[in-house]
Amino acid sequence: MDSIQSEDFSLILIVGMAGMFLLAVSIILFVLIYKRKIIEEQLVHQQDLIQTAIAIQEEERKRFAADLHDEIGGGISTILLSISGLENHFQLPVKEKVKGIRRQLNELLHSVREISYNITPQALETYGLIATLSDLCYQIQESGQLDVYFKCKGKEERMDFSKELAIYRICKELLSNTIKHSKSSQIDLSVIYNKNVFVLIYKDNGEGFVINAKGKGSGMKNMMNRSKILGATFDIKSRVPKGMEACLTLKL
Amino acid sequence: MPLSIVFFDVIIKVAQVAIIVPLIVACWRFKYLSRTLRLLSGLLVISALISIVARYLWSIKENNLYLLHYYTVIEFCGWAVIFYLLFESKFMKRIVFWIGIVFVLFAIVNSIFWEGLETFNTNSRSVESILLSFFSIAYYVKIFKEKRVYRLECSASFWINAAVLIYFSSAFLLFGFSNLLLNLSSYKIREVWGIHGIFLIVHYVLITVGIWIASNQKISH
Repeated sequence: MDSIQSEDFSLILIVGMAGMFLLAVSIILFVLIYKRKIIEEQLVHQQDLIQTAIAIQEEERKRFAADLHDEIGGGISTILLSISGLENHFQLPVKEKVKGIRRQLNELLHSVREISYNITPQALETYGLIATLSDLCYQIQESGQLDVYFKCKGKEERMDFSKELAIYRICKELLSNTIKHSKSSQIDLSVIYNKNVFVLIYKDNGEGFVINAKGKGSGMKNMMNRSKILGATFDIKSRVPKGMEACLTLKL
Repeated sequence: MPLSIVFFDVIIKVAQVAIIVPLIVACWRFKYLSRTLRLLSGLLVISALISIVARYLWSIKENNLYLLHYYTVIEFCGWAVIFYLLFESKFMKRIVFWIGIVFVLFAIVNSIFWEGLETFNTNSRSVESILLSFFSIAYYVKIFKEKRVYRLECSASFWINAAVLIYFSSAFLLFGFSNLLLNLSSYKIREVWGIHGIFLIVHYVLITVGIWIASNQKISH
């Protein structure tokens, strides 16, 4: 092989090797990028399916709550009215028993309304998230167990009912955890609407807890799952004994 | 000496010792490795030992090319077993098995009748590269078609497969024309083997990434 031919040969060899290298890299990148695209599409599809399933489930819960409130609650109210009318027709020992039955029915009616409200808070759909959260905080404050401060910055932007309900349930879980386990004296709940972003910040001054510690399972998992389904980020920070802080951020 | 030659000399030297990196990681994380990766670690150990022996023979001015004939068969069999374990379908397993047997026979016949032990086994090396590239592409087709949702970059087999495809597809031309390289000037030979060194470094880096990811996943599980 003379020198010109050997120059050509080595050049062709190097170009060939470089070409094969680039081809191999292209195949790998193609598989990597295209597979990722497929995964993303599958995830979006799964998210849509979950959202639809949740919407159907919430619709069913709403119907069930309305039936419970109207049918059972309404029925008990009618019985109460009848008993009130009968009460004056009985003599003393029976009259006392009738009064007892009326009291029991009143309690039952109260329970039915509470269960109905817990299944789907009607106020959430009618008055919105801020009013419902404010009312929830007010109820806890009124119970005298601890001080609850609720703040809202920015103008409320209504979301889908299922989203508002998920946020409401996350707040309820946080409040319930604080009341049951933290020995807090104060809770601060802030809601911020800022440039198409919804932020919820929750703080308590209780004992705090070790995140991922055994026994801190299902409530935390539920909150994480709800925020995942919402497409929100949800962070919890806690240090023993410095209380806890949770932050939920959602693009509107 | 031109700067490019210095660069290629450095690359050739680095490529000769690059195998140490995946070997260290494989030894360090050996207990977390799957059967397939343990087999790959064994293959790396054999490669390293043959490299050392070849280097020693070269230093005492002895022909070491016969080692390449043995190594080609061992390397192909090692990778064929790894792909046999990676493929799940019986069809592909059968293909890998029979190709493995045919290749070993071909390599033996080639060494006896066509390219003796004293020369480069260009036929076996280039056929080996083409077959391993084929296995690698077939494996990519398999994971591409799979409906399982998982991130490829978190899969050890993805990186190891990338190592095989990049190295063997890039180097098969070089293996095929190794004997003709002897006619080139020393400068050109170093240039060509320097580029081969780059592919070899990439090969070992990708294997290291695969072993590292696999061992981490095992720990986190």
